[in-house]
Amino acid sequence: MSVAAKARAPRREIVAGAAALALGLHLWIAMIALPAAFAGSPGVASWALATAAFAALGVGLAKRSDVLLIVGFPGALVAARAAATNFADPGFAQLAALAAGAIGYLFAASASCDREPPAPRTSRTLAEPVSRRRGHRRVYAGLAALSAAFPLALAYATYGDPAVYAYAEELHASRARPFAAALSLVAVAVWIGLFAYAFAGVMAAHRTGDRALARLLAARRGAGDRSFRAGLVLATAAALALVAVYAAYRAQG
Amino acid sequence: MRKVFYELLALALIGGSLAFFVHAVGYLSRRDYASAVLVSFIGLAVISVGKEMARLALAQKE
Repeated sequence: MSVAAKARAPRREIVAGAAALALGLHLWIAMIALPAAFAGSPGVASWALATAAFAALGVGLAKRSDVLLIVGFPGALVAARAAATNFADPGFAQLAALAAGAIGYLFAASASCDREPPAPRTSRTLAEPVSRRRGHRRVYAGLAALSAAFPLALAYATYGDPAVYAYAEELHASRARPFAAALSLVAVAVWIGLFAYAFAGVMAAHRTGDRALARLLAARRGAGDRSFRAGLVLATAAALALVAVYAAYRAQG
Repeated sequence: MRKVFYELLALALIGGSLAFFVHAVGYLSRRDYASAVLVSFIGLAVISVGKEMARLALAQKE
């Protein structure tokens, strides 16, 4: 790593840590402190979980622990909110604002946990083609846009879709609001799991060169490559066809 | 060209899987738990394929 890059790395971590702290505090205030000021104390259990979330945020930032920052703090915060049965349910606009804050927090927390790999034994400068870097940036931008679209769509499915809420009211009468709150917790848990698996998972492998995939591709080059690609195209076409069939079935139904 | 194809496919599959998860939430609200679980599995399968396509797109040299 060059001297300039080494100087940039701690500055980037400090900025990311500060952003994660600010956004984490924003979420804590918006989900627990502010509603408590209007609706009254949420109860011992909720305060205990909110304190645990606060501690997870502080310790996570100090130790740069991705488990505490990405799982511990959001999980404890959501549990604290779920335990606060006297809080009014947020409207769709508030939920969308919270989701935007949560997305920003997760980006900042992920960046603050970034660790540089150990210094290599030898190194040489490689001239990476501009087109390849451009291609990588296209994938990064696409994944970032989709990782923002997921929580917004799930939030709409839980709170914004009037048909879903009306059906919940029809089925559960007086318990529609707690049911919608429980549904939103499921949606948040699903989103966190998908983010860790599909989005962070892709970047974690790519960050270290994805050697396993590079070896597989190198081994497949030559006679085996055509059958490998044909199988890949067929499997993908089958997946897309099933998506289209399901969409058509839903449109009819 | 192959790289762009993999990129578009990855984004289409990951984006398409979102529809399945949204529908799963709808099924949960109707207490149709079996459908919700099934549709979630389909969404998981589609997003897995999209994830592998994204890895392939990032690993392609040109």
